Amino acid sequence: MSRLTSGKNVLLLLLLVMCLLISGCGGNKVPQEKSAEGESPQEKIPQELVIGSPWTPKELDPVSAGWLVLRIGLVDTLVAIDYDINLVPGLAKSWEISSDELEWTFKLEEGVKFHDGTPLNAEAVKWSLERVMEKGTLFKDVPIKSIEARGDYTLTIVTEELFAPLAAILAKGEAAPVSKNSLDANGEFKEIIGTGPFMLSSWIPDQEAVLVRNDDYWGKIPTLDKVVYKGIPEAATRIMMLENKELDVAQILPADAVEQLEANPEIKVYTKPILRSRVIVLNMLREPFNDLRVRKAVNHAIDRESIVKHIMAGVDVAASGPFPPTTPWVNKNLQGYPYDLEKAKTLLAEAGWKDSDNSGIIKKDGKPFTVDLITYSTRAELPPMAEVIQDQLKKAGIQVNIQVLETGAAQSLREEGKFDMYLLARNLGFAPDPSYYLMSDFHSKNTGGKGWGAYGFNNKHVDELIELTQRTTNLQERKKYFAKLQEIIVDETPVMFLNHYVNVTAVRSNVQGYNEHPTESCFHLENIYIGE
Amino acid sequence: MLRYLLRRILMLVPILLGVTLITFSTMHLAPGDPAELILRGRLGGADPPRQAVEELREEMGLNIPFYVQYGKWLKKVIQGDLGNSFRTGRPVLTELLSRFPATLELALLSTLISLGIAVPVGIISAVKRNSFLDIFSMIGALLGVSMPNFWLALLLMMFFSLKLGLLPVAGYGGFRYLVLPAVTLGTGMAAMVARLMRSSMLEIISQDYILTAKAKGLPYYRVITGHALKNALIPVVTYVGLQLGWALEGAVIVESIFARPGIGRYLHESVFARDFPAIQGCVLFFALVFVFSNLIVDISYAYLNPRIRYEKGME
Repeated sequence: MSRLTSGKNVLLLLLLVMCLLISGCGGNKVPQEKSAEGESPQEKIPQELVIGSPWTPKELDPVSAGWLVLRIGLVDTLVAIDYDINLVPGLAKSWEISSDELEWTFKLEEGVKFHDGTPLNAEAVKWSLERVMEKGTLFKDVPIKSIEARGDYTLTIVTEELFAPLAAILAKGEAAPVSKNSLDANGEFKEIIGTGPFMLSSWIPDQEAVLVRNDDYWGKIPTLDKVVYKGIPEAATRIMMLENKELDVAQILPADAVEQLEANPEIKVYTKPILRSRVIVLNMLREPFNDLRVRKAVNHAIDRESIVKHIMAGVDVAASGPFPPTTPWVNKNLQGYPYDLEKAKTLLAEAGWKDSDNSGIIKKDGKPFTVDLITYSTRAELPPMAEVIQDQLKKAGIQVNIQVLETGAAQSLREEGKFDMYLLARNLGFAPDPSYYLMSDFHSKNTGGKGWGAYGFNNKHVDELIELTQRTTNLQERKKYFAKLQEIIVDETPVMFLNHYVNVTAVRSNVQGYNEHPTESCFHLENIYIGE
Repeated sequence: MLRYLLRRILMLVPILLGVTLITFSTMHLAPGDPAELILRGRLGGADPPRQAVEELREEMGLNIPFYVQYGKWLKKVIQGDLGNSFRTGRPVLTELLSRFPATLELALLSTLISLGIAVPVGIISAVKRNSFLDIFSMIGALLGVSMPNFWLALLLMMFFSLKLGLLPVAGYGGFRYLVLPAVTLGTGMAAMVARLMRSSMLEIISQDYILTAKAKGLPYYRVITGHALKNALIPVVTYVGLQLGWALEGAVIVESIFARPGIGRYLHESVFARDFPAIQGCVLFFALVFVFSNLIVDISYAYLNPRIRYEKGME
């Protein structure tokens, strides 16, 4: 008897499962809320935007998540960056440097209020910046002596020595002022209260941040009523959500999706070069790349156009120097290293590397030209790129062994000098001032092992020029130094520049005014509206 | 029965100790100095100053012997303190608990779906052995086993969301958002369970007592549901328990694709961010679920099959 009843129980359970399944499917035939809205022309088009990004909103404290809160317009910075990557007034309407070049005085916009209604004045900015100094890492290499409020709307930053990139660093989201009420009684960060065009309405960590328009904004008041910023880790999911009208904007899409998306009349695709490049760091501390001729030869043996065409679906831009052609400080005279296999072979022969036994591999003193190329897979395009490079260098008689590692393991090998070539993706725009990047990647102080830049590169002239760029505020002079630096670095080639990133973003065709910023610092949501 | 249970529970102690030891070691087995990796993460890849690294090493207790570090860590873990996430600074336990519901509902529904598909399919295949239906469902099972989760997920999104407009592509919220991820995860599991159900059923229906039941003149469906099913389910129950661990593993991929804020995705992101306390927390959590679901399987197994509890009990 008991056996029979438990048999029935199992059957009942199964039935229950079936019912659940059926009811599950049936319950979902509800029409999609979104498509039902705003169809009739009499009604006002709802000004609501849903953005899908691979970067989830994990935290909202500007000290650590400044990049995010500035992007979505919750905060403003003292200094802003325009679309040509020039520094322009933000919350500070002007700034000047004292004659001894140690005091920076910022005149603040008057009448600006935080989202909680408290006024933004010099005292509030001072408090906020001092919190960044205490809690954050943004100012770790900035020789700040003191921050002083010398009037209601006059803020002065005194530095120990002249530090030209200061204004650029203040343009980072990490330095954005927040209201004192952002912290709780224990001084812990509680909520984000900035001055931006949007205010936070709700936030679910790792999922989404919901923003509403700040009607008291001091600048251009946004048209959008509401913005939902969602973290969607997979690119394929973002594309499908966009196609299914669950997203209005899908960011950071793979290059090979461009063709498919452009074929859809309901979708617009934007491609924009950003400040990130794929490069190969050469180990200059050992053979064979301690020889300039060999470094030049491998540069000529790589067909950069072919890599862009075949790996990046023709979307990215082949590089002739460290900076993308869209940046104001790029040296436009640089030719880089055009693909020239014969020249590569000649240079290698001059350096003593010849295919003496017709084995296809060049040799010097009986030793074959075999090098280790390391890279990592968190950026999916790097390993296939490594394989194409391996194939291209083989034509010059060079044998490349590829090791695809986890990022930390690749860095350890680099630090120990156990590599010849290191293929990586490098961000050039941590601060919108090239001296920051040049310092960390090419100054001999920083090429000893750690970091992501040149390895074993030691050039006195380069060091002097980088230091000059940090000590000069005259724009024209700085531009001259930057041009010269690019020339030397490309000529000495401690790092091979392969190509520059292009961000692919797709939006629904009714989204107007979307314009990706080349530094990715801000979405400028206040310029976006929904309309035909 | 009680002795059997006690024995099983006592056996968990060394297993859990082993698990915590391995979990704790992850941070030390990974290449590079943890303190430096953390600082580099905070600085967005820039080199941390030497002094800061030393200070953090001291603060994290990395300079004391390994076993002392382990002991201290274990003590905290037992008290429920899994440390704070490197990325967000929030306690890992809080983060895990806030993500638990999303993963739990996914694991449960996908298990239900897999059983809902697999048990009837397995029974029919066994009863109608070598028929068209049998071959068809077993080819289906083979496909289900071989199909990668992420691929199936994309196909389902394309069909049910883009073509039919029935369900949202991805996200988290009500039941509508749960269906596609659960079907994705459940289908893979169903394939395995269906094959197991079939072979187990085949074995049972060739037994003498089934012949007896048939000879008594019982209708065939009563023979199957009343006599064969319960015995045939024993290996399936064992397997489904183990499958729960598999569901969690699958959740790592499925939650990322469907943008669900569950523990699987948390692990996935923590690994990429080298957030060691979070990784340790997730691994420990997965291990616990696995160990305890095994325990529950053992208990239910003893309930379903009296021979087991008597044998063990009389030792």
